[in-house]
Amino acid sequence: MHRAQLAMLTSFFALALMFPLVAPYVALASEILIFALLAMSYDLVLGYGGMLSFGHAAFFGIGAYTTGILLIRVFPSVPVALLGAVCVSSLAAAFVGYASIRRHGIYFTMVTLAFAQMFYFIAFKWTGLTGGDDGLQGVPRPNIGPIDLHPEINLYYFILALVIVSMFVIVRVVHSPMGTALQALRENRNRAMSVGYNVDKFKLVAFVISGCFAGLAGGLYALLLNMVPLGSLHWTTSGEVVVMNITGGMATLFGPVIGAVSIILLRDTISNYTDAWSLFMGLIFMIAVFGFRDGIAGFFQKKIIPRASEILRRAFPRKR
Amino acid sequence: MERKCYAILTICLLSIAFFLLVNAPAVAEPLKISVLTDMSGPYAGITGANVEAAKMAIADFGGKVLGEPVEFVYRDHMCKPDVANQKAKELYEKEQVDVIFDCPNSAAGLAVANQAKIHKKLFINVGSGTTRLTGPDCNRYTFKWAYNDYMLATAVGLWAAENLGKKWYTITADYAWGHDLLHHFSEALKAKGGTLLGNEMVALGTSDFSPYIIKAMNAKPDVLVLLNAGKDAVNSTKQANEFGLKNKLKIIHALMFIEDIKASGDVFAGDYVTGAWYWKSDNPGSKEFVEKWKKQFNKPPNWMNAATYSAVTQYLKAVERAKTKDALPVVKALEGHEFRDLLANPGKIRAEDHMEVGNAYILKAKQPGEIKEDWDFFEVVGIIPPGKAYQDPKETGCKMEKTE
Repeated sequence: MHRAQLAMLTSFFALALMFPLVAPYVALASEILIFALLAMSYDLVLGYGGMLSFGHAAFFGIGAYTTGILLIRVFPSVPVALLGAVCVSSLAAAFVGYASIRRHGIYFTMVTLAFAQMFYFIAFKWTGLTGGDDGLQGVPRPNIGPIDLHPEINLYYFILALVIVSMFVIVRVVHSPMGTALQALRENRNRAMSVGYNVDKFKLVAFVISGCFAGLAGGLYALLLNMVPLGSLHWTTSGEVVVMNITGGMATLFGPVIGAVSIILLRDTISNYTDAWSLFMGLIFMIAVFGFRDGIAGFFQKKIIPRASEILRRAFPRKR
Repeated sequence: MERKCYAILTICLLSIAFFLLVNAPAVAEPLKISVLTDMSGPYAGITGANVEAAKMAIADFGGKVLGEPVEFVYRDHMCKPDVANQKAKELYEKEQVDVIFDCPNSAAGLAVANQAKIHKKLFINVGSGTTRLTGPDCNRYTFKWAYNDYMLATAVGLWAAENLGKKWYTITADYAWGHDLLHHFSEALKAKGGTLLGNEMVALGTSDFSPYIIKAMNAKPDVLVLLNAGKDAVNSTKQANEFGLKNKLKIIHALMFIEDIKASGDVFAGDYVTGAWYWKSDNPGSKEFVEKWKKQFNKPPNWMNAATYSAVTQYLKAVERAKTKDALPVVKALEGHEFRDLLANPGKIRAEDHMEVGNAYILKAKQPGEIKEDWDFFEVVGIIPPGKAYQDPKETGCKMEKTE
């Protein structure tokens, strides 16, 4: 692993350890972590794979519902439920990916959206299993061994541990030969094909990995809320993730994390002061799109960090 | 160099953390009331003003209880159950509120009720209609105020079967809420010995209702029941009007507010609906409340606003009776309490399932020619007593736990 990435991951870890103290409330910090993971997993598809999937809510929601249903009906064990969520959402991602990856551009977007809507309506109608419009209520948080997950702060650190591991894996995937190939075929599909890469296979693998982590994020969300809202499967959740990626910076991995943190934090704070919060969110999104084409992370990487390091270098000349 | 930077960063962050820990807010001593409602989602036009209703109730109570000033906060849940759930945690844990009011949207209401149970603090729901709150999902800390789906369906259902005709046809929005209402409506009809000629399940957001309306028309019912809300209600009624149905039969709706009529002109003229209150009613304190409201907002309050005012007032009175703001004594002071106020005349908070019950009003939308005063859109044509409008507490399926 590259030193810079390790540094980023450790600094993220250091910041995240203290985040509950600074965040408005602990449950919000947990929510931000979960959406950071979701946005990061989506970056694999959008940023690195160049696929504008509009159905990521499906894997998030399927993960959440699987966790909820397993915990309520089958076996009250968090690891089992989360593992189930990961498996089921990966399977769903394989299915959706297999059917949609042959299409490109807007057609791909539409097919993924259609699948996501299909899952949404299944959950909406199958009230016996999912609770329908009322959501799946009363998801328990059983202890894991000696760890009591009921206090919000305990759950936060549990989520943090899983998110850090997932981030490590995602970073590894991006910097593996597969990740490099993925970027190559994003940049020039025909050239990648002519070199001999099986384009669809790479895309599908990236899609499934992404769906797997989205499912994990969904499972954690069900634990956090003690319920699964039907909205977790709604297309607006997919839209939110796209917005987080674009404001944060695509294909930067930590950009989407920054996007998730800033969007959820801003929405939560602004909505305490005005009911026109969505107006401000829209303005911020527009500023991000017009002003920071590479997102907040890209802006820092390209403009601020080089300048800052220049200043630092002058202030502290390196002794050799 | 890099390492030095990290050391400095870590020290900075640790000091911030220490600072925050040292300056952590002290435990809130005075009573703190909160409203969690939809202020920017689809119900914002109806429930957004509940915040003002709660403020008004606190001010009218004198702004003080047990000699301490009452604090107030509100949060917008955007009609999303996940946001509602998170905000409820913020309110109970960070803001240290003693009670949360309102919370429309059934999923949001159920989620917050669960949080109330976990945090052992009060939640008095006004906005969501689900009977689960006072049924299988009831708990000691959750109360339901003014209405529920059973009452919406049963009150107007019983009245219509008696006064409008015994042959019905229903058009139902095809999801949990619609199914629930259909069940309660057909039970009411059965109780009065009527017949349901047919039912059409229609997907949410359908724009063309004409096939269903033609079917309904051919069945020749006395009453057409439209179990939908919002845009669906407007579209289906508009198309029924275009087929001239209102000359042949009466239309009943599940849920309608004065704001809906203001927004849609004469579409609903002559239709019937249940309400928990109407701003022209002369309950004790009702007139003063409406006057104040009109002065502030240039329109009368809807019954959700009145219900919130009533709930906050009765809660404050219960705190005075209990002589403490602790949750359980206040719960006990509320349970079984009977009162008369602007909303409920008389009203009772049932101990068995924590449902606040009062009279249900049968409202008939006036024809445009009959409206003499702006916003006076309804005529009260009937009153159903609480014993008939609400389900017997033995049948709700609520098993109230006895936490001491």
